[in-house]
Amino acid sequence: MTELEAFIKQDITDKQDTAESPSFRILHNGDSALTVIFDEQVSDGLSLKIIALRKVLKTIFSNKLTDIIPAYQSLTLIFNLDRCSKQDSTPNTLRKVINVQIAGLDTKSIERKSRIVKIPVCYHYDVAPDLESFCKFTKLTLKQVIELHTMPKYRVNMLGFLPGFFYLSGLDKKLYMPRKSTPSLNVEAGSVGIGNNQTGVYPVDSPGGWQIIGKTPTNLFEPTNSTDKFLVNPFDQVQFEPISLKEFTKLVEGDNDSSQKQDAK
Amino acid sequence: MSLTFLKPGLQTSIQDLGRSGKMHLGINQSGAMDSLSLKLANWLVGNSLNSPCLEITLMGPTIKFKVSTSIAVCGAEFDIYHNGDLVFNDETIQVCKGDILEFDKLRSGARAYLAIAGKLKCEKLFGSYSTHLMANFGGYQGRQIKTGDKIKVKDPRLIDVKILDKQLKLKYLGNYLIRFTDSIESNFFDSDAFHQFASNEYKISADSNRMGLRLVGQPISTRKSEQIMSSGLVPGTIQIPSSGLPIIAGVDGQTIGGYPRIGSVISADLPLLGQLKANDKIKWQYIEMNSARKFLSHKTEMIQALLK
Repeated sequence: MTELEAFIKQDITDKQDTAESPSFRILHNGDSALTVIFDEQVSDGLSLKIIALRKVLKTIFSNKLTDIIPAYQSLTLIFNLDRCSKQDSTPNTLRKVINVQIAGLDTKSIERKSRIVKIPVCYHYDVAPDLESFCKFTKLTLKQVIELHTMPKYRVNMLGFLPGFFYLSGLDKKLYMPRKSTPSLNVEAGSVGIGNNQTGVYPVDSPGGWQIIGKTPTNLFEPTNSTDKFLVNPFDQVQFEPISLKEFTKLVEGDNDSSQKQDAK
Repeated sequence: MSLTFLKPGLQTSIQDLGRSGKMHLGINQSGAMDSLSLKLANWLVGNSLNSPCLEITLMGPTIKFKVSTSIAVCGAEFDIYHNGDLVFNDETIQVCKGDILEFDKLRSGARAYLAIAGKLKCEKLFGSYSTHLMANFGGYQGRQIKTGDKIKVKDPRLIDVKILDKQLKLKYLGNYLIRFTDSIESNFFDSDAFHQFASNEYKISADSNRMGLRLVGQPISTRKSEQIMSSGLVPGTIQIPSSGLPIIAGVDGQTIGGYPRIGSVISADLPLLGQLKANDKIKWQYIEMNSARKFLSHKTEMIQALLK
């Protein structure tokens, strides 16, 4: 009997099982997915809990899941219905599993593995089309914008939207600016943007509505079969480091040189 | 042994059944928008059902074969000419070295799947050959096909002709009833809004693609006071942005969504989304969760039985 089957067979009659547990809710997300929503404010503690729980559920449900997606306050399990019995993918089964697992989550190892990833950013009008209007809107000087944006260690709460795009928390309130009312058709890879209370980097060329205030020469998404190549993982921290236009150009050219050398092999 | 594209078509790309297990890194599933037609085409040429095919959208390509092999087309119906003679969907077609296959007028549906007996030489990344059109990886050079592109075919073979069972020959009439069930924020809509959504007729907007199908019709009102937190988004999810006009997430959709979700297309009906095109009309039918899953298992069983 697998661990999951043991949970399904468990005849838990206490009220926890019939009433929604106070700390989380489980909702259907279409007929092939369930989303666990935690009724807590976004915090490092909550992110830790979600990422640790993700790891445990991934093991327990194993090949019955196709994907399991962490977000700020939720965890979404997508089931491979061809491999699931009727019981495997019900909110009831998932609730039983979480109720048992949630107390003993190993958050320490995730904290230990968390890295601080430094990303060089050039804050210059030549590479940041919205920098001028951003300074005007926020009534800050360029120097202040750079200081406020490079000061915090931002927490990576989740990845999504585009391959390698990370959602960060910790942006200074003075840097809040709404998204553009009409998104730009093409934002270049490496562009560093701000949209309302969020900041992030476009890993690949894409349409986008954020205000672009800088650009990094670092390649955030290299398609390769090894997922270790992802620069940033959930619960890592990101810090932006200011570089000059000259350094930026040098780094971009250096990158091109090395990729040309690889091509030549 | 290869295929050469004399004309590329509007958006022709290599797709299989897509990737899984990488959504937490922002890598969406990609793959065929109509997964059923891809499987059927592969079956007709004796490939494994998950083999990469060419997904052909609205305007088809013209292809010169430098290989003798069996091929098949399923899904959208085009006038297809093989060396000038009409050939048809849903049955094995034998092509010889030097033959030309031309996709002409689109008769119904939106996406056709061309399967080739053998292996298309293309890039497998994160467990799938599918082209990720936005991040440019997988498939043929990570992009859609252009004029002059040449795809090599390994182990081509001519097999006995197979014909699909009548029950699997689908007609796309441009007027559909699509079934949906609950999603995370279904309760976020009051009963008037929900009823309005379920009883409206919508048209597919021309501004639709593999990322999402946009619907045109009566806007749905959302309760503005409640904040939505972004969370995992699955293909088929029906989101209501502030305009009130629904967007159905496609296989290239974002992995995280932030608009309220009124419902989700049931899994059994997902392949149909790949055949919707501008000005097609759709109506909705609400289905309970248990029934939604039953429809899927019945469908899966039926297809398995017919593809024996």
